[in-house]
Amino acid sequence: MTTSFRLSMGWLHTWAGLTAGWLLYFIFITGTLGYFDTEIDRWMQPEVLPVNNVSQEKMLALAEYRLTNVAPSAQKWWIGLPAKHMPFFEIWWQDPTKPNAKKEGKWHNEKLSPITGQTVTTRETGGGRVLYRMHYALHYMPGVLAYAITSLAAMFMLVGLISGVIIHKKIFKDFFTFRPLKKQRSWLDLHNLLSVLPLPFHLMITYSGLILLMTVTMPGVIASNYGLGKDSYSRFLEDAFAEEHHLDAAGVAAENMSFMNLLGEITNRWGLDQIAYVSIENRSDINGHIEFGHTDYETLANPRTLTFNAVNGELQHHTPASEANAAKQTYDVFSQLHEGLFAGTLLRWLYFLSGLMGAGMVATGSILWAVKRRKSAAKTGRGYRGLIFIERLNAGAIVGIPASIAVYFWANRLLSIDFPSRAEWEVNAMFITLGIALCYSIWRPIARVWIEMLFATAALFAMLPLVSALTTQQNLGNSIKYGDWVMASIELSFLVTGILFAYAAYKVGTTQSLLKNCTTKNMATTAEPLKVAL
Amino acid sequence: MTKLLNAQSNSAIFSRVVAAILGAYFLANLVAIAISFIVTGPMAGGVAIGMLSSYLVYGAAIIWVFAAATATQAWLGLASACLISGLLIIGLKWIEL
Repeated sequence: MTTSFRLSMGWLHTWAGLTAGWLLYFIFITGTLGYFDTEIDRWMQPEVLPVNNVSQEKMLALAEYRLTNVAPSAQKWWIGLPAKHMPFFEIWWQDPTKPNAKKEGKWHNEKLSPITGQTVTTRETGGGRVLYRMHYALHYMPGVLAYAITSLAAMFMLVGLISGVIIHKKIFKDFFTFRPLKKQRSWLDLHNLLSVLPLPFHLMITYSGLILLMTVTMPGVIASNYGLGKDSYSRFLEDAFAEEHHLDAAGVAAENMSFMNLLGEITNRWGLDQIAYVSIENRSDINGHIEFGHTDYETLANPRTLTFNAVNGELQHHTPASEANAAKQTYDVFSQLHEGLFAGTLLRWLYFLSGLMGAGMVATGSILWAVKRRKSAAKTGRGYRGLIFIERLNAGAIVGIPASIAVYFWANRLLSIDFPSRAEWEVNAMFITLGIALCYSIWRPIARVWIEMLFATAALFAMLPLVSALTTQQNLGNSIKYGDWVMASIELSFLVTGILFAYAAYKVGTTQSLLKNCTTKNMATTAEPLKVAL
Repeated sequence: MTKLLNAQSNSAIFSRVVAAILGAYFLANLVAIAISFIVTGPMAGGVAIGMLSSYLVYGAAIIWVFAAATATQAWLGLASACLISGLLIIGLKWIEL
């Protein structure tokens, strides 16, 4: 490897990282929270109480009773049962699609009490799902544009990873090197540690992220084989991804059986209480069918399903289907690896920590960029103002994004239940906060920006359990007392996050005064950001 | 001796950035299409394999663009790779017909 090649790659690494840095940081943070999206959903709808020891048979009977009353003529019913990560007992139904109408009928949704079968009224919220969606669909813009932007950012990330490996002469030696309190060297060591240790995760998550959006970002390949236009495109999707071909409604009325009649067969095959969902399509049609989904992801493949004919109760399909093509299997493996739905609690925490390390990698990279240039820029005055501006925005983004997510949770507790467009305003509150954080970082004296924002964010997170206790029936003490570990873990995580931010603020404070005392030069006038845990 | 990237003119850097984002994307598409024509079996499978590999081509092409000695060389390299895969696509189409 020649020196000039390595220098070129160094340049590429620096600029690919810096230009996409803040967006990638946002993607890493929101995507990482996505590993606990259903748990966050649960926290954001505290009206729904956890259930224990209600048999699935009883719940399904309650769901059928409610659906028969509220949606007797719907063509599709869907029943979700509470499972390990999915605390909700909910029903969905779709209005009959009007003949010749372009759009399909509207879907409706209710959450039910597993004990009484009564509808549970919950606050309107985007929940963890909206946070998770932001990491690829962003917000306030059409999906396709957002997919293109996030995919391009992922491409920058991939290039950053590859060039990062190339410029690393002693990748394994550096891995064990850490020189605290050496300013630039410390930042570099930290950046290396956060990048190299979880490097397989970073590569996997970036590449699989690109793959997940491939049908949107690489439409030319589809068009060259299937032809242009929407029909050709959907023909490809059907060929490549149709899990199994469900028959469409024939338009011939026929008596359908109740799904309750099939429970015995399901118990024989799967054992008791293993159902994640029941989906009924083409109700009262000769092609009506009933699909059961299994709770467990046993492997990287999609979870098992069983589909029955609703007229005679014959088994029609069972997945995983053996004939799935190699391409679809590869795609499936990548998407499962990316989403980690198969993972148990411990593995999901590992995913979570790896994701945070990814965010840390991007953040330390951006900080390193500024720290590296600070001395020479201060000396020569060249590019000094631009550098300070980037340093400010670094603080605004790196601290402002977590702060805005804290405010998203605050909004969930503080907005009144009947607030119009409540779910959307939770998100607005989040982005308004991010805007304020960026303005704040530009406006305040640079030596104060990091420390003040870190303290504010610490307070925002640490106070969340208190806010929750004051505004809802639910509080941390009770969660622990009654063993409601989903709620308790989330609020304890808020507390820990708050403590970590406070510690970071404290560290920045002490480092700054240390520098003030021992240097006569201008170092103290510029911020010495986040010396976390050094 | 070639100049280091941070010593090159802004226009040369800009030219490389365009080559990296758009040029390399174009090449990735062409290679993916060629692969989708080469892979036998169901059409959807070939398309998917083409798309799965496209990002590796994209990444490698970006690395090439910045590793080349000059912006002109970067473009020339991209153009010849595009030409080869373009000819390959035409050839494969022709065999099919």
